[in-house]
Amino acid sequence: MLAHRRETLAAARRRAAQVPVKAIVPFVFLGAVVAAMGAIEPYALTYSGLTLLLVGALPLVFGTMSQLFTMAAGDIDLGLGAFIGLINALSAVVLRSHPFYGGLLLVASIGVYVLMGLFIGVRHVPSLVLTFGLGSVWLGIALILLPTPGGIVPPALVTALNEQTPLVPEPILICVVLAVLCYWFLMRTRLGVQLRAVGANPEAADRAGISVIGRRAILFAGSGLMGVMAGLVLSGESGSGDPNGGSSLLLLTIAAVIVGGGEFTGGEVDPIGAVAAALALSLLTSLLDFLNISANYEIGTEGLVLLVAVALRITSKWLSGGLARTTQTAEGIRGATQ
Amino acid sequence: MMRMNWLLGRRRDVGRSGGADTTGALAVLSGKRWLPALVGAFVVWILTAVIAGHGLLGTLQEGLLVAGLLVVVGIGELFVITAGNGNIDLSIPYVMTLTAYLTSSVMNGRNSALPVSILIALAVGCAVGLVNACVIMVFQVPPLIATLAVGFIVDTVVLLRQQTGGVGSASPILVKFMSARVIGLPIFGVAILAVGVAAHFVLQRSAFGRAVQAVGQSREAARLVQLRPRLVTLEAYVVCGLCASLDGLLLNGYAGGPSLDMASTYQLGAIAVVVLGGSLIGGGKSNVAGVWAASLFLTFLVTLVAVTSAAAGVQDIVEGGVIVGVLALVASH
Repeated sequence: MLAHRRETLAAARRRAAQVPVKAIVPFVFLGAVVAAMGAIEPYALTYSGLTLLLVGALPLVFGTMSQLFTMAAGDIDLGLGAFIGLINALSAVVLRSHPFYGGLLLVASIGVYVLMGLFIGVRHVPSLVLTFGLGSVWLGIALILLPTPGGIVPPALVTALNEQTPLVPEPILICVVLAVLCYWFLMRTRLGVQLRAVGANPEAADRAGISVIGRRAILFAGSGLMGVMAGLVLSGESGSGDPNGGSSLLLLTIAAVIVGGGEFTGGEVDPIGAVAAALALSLLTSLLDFLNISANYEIGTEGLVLLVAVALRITSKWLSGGLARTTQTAEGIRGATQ
Repeated sequence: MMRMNWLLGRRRDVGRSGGADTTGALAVLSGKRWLPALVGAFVVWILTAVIAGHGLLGTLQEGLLVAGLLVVVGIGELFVITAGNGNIDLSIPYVMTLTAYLTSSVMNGRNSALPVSILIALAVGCAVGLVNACVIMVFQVPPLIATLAVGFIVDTVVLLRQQTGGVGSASPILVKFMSARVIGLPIFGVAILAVGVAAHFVLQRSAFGRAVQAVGQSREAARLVQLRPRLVTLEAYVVCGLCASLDGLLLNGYAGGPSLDMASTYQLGAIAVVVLGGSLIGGGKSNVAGVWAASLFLTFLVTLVAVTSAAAGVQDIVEGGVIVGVLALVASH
């Protein structure tokens, strides 16, 4: 009895010790980028400097959360960039003149994502190709709404992003609240566990009596909601519409989920790490500006950093895997000798 | 074995169900998988011919030419995707553009420099393919991210090259090869038809092609029969790199000169023709005829939307909608 208790305690401790190595990477990444920025341009770390920099990061943060919900279902959304652009165009064209219909369209957009999740579940199509095709449709609709960049988004969206919050800049508060909410929902609630189970192992979830198709629809509702938020935040930040405004975000959202500790295999995501990784990736672009790296090198440098970050995370996974194995072996030996 | 739902759909692929008695049904089903693309190509061909007024032959002439360019990278992507395990190559357009810039300035309108240009193209494709495979296997980066990041780096080289080097122009022989016609059919299109037949035999009959399919179906099983999955995957990436770089050379000859976004539509286009052509995106099952059918289909579709001079957005909606529609048809088999 006592031995058993000791064993579970050791197992729990092992699990607790295992988490940080993998989960720490996005924060190390973020810390390194912020430190480098502070060293080059101290103004960047003041209240107003941080506000300026981080408001620009918010579309990627919300976009990453949208991608995270999709990837939790074991799917991938290649149409997300175009979807964010569509919401941006919607807010610049419809939302200001017809707030009611605009709002209705936003809700309908979330509904479209739910339908997408149902379609993937019922028809068994690979989401990679489906979302790629739908992305083209979103872009087309956005281009019809707004053939050239322009229009004016509702002023309320702009002012909502420019609140002077006490002590901590508003974008930081938004990021923290978003990360904590998503963490609580996906990692701590009963529904969240079921949602991740459906992504990780649909067959097992099905046998446990969980409706796989229904749960995937819920995950896609989350993706749609976060995608709409990303589009609104992008509108508030830029003040006008651009159908292609979200296209550069797409691959960064996937990278942020992975660097943040998620997996391509479904079910395994880390909302807090993903927010940190999204901030880091977004600030990296500003850092490259600070370093006076020519715009020519920028995209290549981003590619390089992306590779390093992903490789780093995988190395850390080896490390933690190796540690866990060593501990296990050590305990096995101890158990055998006792 | 990693589970990747976003790639495999919901694992109802007939090719994976196994069992001796399914072989017959499998042959019939796999024969049908590229049918929607072919029927689609046929319908859109006739529609385009009627609406544009170039006649059936005229539409086919131009279509074969443009589709041929897409087929080359489609076949390259097919090799990588068939190797399975999430393998995919997103660096194709950047390799194409880089090759176009490099060879264009070397050729500079001279026929004598064409052999050197072909060597340069081969070197670029081989190098990027090797780098892609190494990043994926040594650093264990998921292929989607790895090939894109490598592509970004190649893109930077393109930007630098574009600003420092002269643009140049393609050699007359190459331009001639891309535009010449024999009994009404473009030589290039016919040549790529032959390439397609060759690729079919490489994939279905040669030891290398069968190794690629075997690795795509099951890495474990492939390893047990003394195949080397990592080496086979590496070779698939090199083949894809070579297809992309040679296609860049050809595209340069077709377009007359390089430009920065000359190849941007080939990134997702290459994947689209593989999937629409009925090959499994999860790997292990390839169909070269399907790549040709899907390339013709997409090409005619773009022409059709262009000649109806619809608004820019309509073209995107139709293309995307058709991909979704055909996907639903293919997946239901």
